[in-house]
Amino acid sequence: MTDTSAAAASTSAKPSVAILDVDLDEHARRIRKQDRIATIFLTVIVGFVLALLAALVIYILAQGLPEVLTPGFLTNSPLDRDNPGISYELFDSFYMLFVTLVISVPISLGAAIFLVEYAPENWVTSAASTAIETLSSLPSIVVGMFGSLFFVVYCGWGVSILSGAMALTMFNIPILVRVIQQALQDVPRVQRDASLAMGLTRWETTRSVLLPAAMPAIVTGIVISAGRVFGEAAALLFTSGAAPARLNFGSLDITSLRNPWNIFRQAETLAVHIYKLRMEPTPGNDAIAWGTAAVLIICVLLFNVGARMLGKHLAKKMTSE
Amino acid sequence: MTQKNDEEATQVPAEQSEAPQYENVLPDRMPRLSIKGEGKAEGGAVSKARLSKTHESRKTHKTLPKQQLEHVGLGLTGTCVALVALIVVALVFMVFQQGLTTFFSDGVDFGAFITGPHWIIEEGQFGALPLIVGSFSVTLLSTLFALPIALGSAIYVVEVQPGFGRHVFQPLVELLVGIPSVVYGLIGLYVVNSSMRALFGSAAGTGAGILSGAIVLAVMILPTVTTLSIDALAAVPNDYREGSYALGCTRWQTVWHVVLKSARPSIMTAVILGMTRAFGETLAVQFVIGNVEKSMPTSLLDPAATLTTALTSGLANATTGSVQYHALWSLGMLLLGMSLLFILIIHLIGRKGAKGND
Amino acid sequence: MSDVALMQKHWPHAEGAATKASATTKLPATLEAPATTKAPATTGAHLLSTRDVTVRYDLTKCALQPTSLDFDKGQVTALIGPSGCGKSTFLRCLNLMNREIPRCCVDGQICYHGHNINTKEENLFDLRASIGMVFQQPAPFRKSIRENIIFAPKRHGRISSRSAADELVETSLRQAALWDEVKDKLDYSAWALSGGQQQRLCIARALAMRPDVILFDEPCSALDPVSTFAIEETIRSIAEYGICVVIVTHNMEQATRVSDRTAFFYVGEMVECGMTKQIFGAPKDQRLADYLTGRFG
Repeated sequence: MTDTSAAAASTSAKPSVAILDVDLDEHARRIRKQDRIATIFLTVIVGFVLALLAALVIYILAQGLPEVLTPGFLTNSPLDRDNPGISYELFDSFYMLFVTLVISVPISLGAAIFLVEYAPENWVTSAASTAIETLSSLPSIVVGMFGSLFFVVYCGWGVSILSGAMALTMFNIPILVRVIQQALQDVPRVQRDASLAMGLTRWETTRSVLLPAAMPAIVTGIVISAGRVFGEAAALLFTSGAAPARLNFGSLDITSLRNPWNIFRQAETLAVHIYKLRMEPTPGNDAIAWGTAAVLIICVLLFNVGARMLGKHLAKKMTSE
Repeated sequence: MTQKNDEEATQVPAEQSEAPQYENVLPDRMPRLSIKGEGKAEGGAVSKARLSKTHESRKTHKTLPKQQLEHVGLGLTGTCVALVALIVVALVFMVFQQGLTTFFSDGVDFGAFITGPHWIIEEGQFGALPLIVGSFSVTLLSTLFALPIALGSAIYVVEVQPGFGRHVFQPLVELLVGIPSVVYGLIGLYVVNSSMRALFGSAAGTGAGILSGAIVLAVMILPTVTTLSIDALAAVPNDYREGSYALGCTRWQTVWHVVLKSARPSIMTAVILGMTRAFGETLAVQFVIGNVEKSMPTSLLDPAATLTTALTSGLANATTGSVQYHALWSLGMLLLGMSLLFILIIHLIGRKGAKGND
Repeated sequence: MSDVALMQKHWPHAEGAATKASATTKLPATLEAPATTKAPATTGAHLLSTRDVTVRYDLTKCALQPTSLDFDKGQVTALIGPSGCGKSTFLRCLNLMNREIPRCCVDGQICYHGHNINTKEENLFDLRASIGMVFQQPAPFRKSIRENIIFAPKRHGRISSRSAADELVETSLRQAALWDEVKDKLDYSAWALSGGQQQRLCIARALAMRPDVILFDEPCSALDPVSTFAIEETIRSIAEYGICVVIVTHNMEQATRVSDRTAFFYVGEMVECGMTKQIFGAPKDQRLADYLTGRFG
């Protein structure tokens, strides 16, 4: 810039008047122009991201909704020759989610409470935190591979809902532990102190004071984690299978492999179904795949939105009753 | 009343005589309180009965001794943590046990495994280099694509329009986080591959390749990196910004020189976390990368394979206990090693960032 | 029957103290280390007495120099001093709340009813059932007013029936001067009360445990003047029931209004203590004189 070099030349000669030679207005104009350009640039980026999001959702729905809305898609079994639907997969997805939550929520709750309340400041606690962190950064296929050997073969459960749920639990625990830990730590410290100062144990304090106060955040976290578990496929391919069982909803024998409530039967969730359809290039599979994708994404969106609304509702109930 | 320095033995505390005397000590404006409701139930039978009880025996029914209760709580929650830790240990142990069998009992050379350019496990060729190259190139490219967009959006949301950001942008982006990876793969298959074919013509082949994979992954990790960057920027204390504005800087100057520098460790963590997710992603990539494992990719448009996709396709066909099976576990071992490396890097960034703040 | 005598019927600490001392002989004897031989004799006469208590955070940073103070029943002692000088730290030693802070080390003798409680074997739960605490921020639990008050007594096994619970609730709320304002709202959430009412609810909650000692950690600093006045009245009336009160405050006038004795803390050291009138009228230490005249705050 000629201005600054002129300024530099004059500073050596006459330091006291050097500052007058710098064109401040020009500098200010340049800086302001930079600011405006940057702002426009950023606005474009944000617009791009929003457009991308909208495009994604619209594309999926556009491709999939026609299929979803055809009669029988949601209610026919996938083994139906004329008009295969996704009823079994739909059931399997929700049942798998249920079993996973039943296993993972108590364990995560216990682990989070331990880390927040009881954990002594020694290597045991750091080791436990590191273990959970490791679990959270693992590729889901490695978890699935481990599950395919450990749960399916070593534990003897075979390719089943239980094996799949255990793999999903391993996937879900780090998420839940982090959420619950954060929720418990967000309760003001003085609530804990007030309860301890009356001679109550940490256990009673956590159960009767901290957990109720942290409940909205915990519930939100659980529902959001449910959304992530719902869409997981890689961990399930080799633990719960890629083929649906022939379900018999009227069956009363819980040990039968056709009973929908039997957790030792194989299952196929929606996400796995999409994968399998792609791998088998049968005509007509594409449409089903898109329909399944649309259902999947609607469910996930409902989970997310529902979590937020539930959380807000619970928090409001807490402060206004 | 005793004092700290002396007079300990001389003054005998006389509580009974002190009690009425304090009236004279207090300023006159302090009224003498009357105990309200003294005629009511307090003088009743239960209170009279309490008079004869000592402090210790005020318990009217048995409860579990508190120490025991505390041990129960500790035991229960400790068991949960132990369970989690045990299963992680089991996982790491098993991955290494099965993965190392390839080298120690099946006779595959580790060096050849890492640097061999052909991965054809049916024929016993275990060169994982194409897979390693595939994984890294897809991860690095996708991060390269996603970072500017994520960072730009984060700056806009935190600095330029916080209200819009908090109420509109952030919830929408968090919805994006929830979209399952198979769906991304499906979209990538139709949209990205055909775009590649349209853009590059015959050079793109089927449209599947490293570039397609990178684009799909970029869109996948974009929400994660964006939300984390937003958190990172929002955590910079407002005092920094106000100090900068008070010196006459414009918003962009403030952002570039003050906010970004201060949030750098957190942003780097966000990037590494995004890379971790991209590196470990399986199904989204599998649809668009072409799954050609047997040789090294030569250009961005070449179909290739990653460690994760090779694992998935291989596992479907391998029989338990065979050399092929163990080789797949070795791939898993590499993946595990990379995840641990990522965690280590994040810890190092965190520690350096904390030191930098001191 | 005079008011004070009536309340002493419900607060039999004079008799209770002697019987508790004998009932708790299973506790370990006082520490061997720096015992001046007359310590057991004189400390038995005080309800709560401390000798050379020091507190260190992170095993190195010393937050409190050796401090020795005594507290008697029916007496209000104020701990004053500028911020960060160890008053709250000392207060939290008295009911061993500093043990909740990791890497915090409390040394010295803390004798309650003549027995040293600063030992590893001390039953924290029983101790804190007799020494209550009220904090700076009002912290009512997310429950109804009734539930807040019977929360702790129920879990200590002290409530046998619904009528006992009701009586306890009414007594505690009367003693905290809150009964008239909330008597028809007992089943409503405690979070709906105003700041001053919530703090009085916390005091009632502490009173419901029938403690010998109540510790107040700057209870009025988050409240408006009207609520402050109500709480100061409550504190004085609590002392009349025979409860030993220790209150930390950075408001000197509050100390003059409320307390019988005052101790002045400065930079982790207890500088001077004595009767309130004498401390404020004729301070012996120059640092105390400077603090009182406002040289530093």
